[in-house]
Amino acid sequence: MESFWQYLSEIFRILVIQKLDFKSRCCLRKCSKSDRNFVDAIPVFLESLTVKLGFNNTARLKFKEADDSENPKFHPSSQIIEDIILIFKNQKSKAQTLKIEGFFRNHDPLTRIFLEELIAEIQENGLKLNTTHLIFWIGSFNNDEIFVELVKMLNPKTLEKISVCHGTSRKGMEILVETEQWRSLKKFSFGEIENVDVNWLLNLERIRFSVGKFLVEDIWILVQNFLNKNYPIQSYVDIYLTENADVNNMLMFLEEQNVIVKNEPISERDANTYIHTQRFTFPNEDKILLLKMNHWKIYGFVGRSSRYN
Amino acid sequence: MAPKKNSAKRPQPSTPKPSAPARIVKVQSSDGHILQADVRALLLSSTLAATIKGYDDENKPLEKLEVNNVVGFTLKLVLEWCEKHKEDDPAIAQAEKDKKNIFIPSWDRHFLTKLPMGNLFDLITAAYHLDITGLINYGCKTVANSAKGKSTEEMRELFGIPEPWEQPSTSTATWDD
Repeated sequence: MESFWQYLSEIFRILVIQKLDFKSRCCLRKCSKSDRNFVDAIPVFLESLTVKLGFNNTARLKFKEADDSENPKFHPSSQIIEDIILIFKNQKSKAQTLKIEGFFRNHDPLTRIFLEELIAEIQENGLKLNTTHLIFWIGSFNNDEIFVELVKMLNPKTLEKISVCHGTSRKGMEILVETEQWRSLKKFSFGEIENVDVNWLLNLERIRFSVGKFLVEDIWILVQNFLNKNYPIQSYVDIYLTENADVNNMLMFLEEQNVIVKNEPISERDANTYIHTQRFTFPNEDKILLLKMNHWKIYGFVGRSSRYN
Repeated sequence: MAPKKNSAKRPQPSTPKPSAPARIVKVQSSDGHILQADVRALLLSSTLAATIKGYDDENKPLEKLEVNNVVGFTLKLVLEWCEKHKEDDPAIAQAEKDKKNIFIPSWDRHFLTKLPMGNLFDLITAAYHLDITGLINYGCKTVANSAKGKSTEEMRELFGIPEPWEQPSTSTATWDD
């Protein structure tokens, strides 16, 4: 067998490894010690990395590069965690989206054990995971402290968005908003939050969550924040209300703030869905904040005003 | 027929353009083979372009270029590739340099995949010595593509990696079955 690969210049080997797909990198690094060293020295870039949790302390990985690739087998969690560490051990490696997908009910301990092991390994290796978007897709999870610890393991310089679907307690939010990661966040999409403090949301351009009540004073603060910070087009606030809201009360409050209250829906469908659509213009900009409201939803988004005139 | 998706991103195949008559020079390989090439094709190599410019600047006649680190067989392949791409915009190759996913046009795919792996490695090494970005890009991507879907053992066979090595850790084990 000709051993040409190992006699090639380092730069050539690096160029090939840079163009290898992730799965092939994993195989190549097992070929020889020098290949392992080469592969580990070159960062991995993944569109997304998904960890799917399984029963009996197992998990499996799915990643996306040009094509989706999913390993159908579950493996012991320790091996999966080792693979995750391996991807991020090169501090330039990045998964655009990091998704942890798990059980939809009553399996908190399994999720908790996995996260504790993952967090311990990340800490032991002194890493911060580079990802832009954390998706934590666990239907029910009551360990807010551990979730916050997971967020702390992410690089605040790259993290822009967190999406979760489970409910979060007030206490959980209070510790989350204290993290460096939250302060640099631009987008968040949460399940139900118990009792929201509007001040938590003032650094966010895209906001989606569910809550029992949301005070009209807080809506006004969000509107002003969007306008004052001149948030870009496609910014939005999307709040689902689990308790009936009083739209008339909201409109009265807006009038008290010297807003000329006028219902201007942007489509017939909207007119049927929302009780009121209020337009707020950005000074000196071709932008508008459309705030739509009904008994169960408050939805505002920034669009191009010329489009809706 | 509707244009293919992402066709705008793909490098366009070389098309002959009306241009000045070809200026042919001799190129000598490290083992003494003498070949002929159009100067426009040689300009794809930054190394040779610098040498050619040196001759032109001094108004010296360029009769023969010596390529000391590439043997005749490989040099012939290099020149064939350069001839095919002599009309290419070098900015395309530069833009693709650090990209992981690049599109290899069909002529290049055929040209590169027909080569045994050893010859392909020689060709890319020559492209590296001569600094031909486009050929390095396509060559490396061809090697990477040939490894796709192979197990560790198959890859060891493909690349001629003789060293059997038991990895002490279980890392990446989940992607190898």
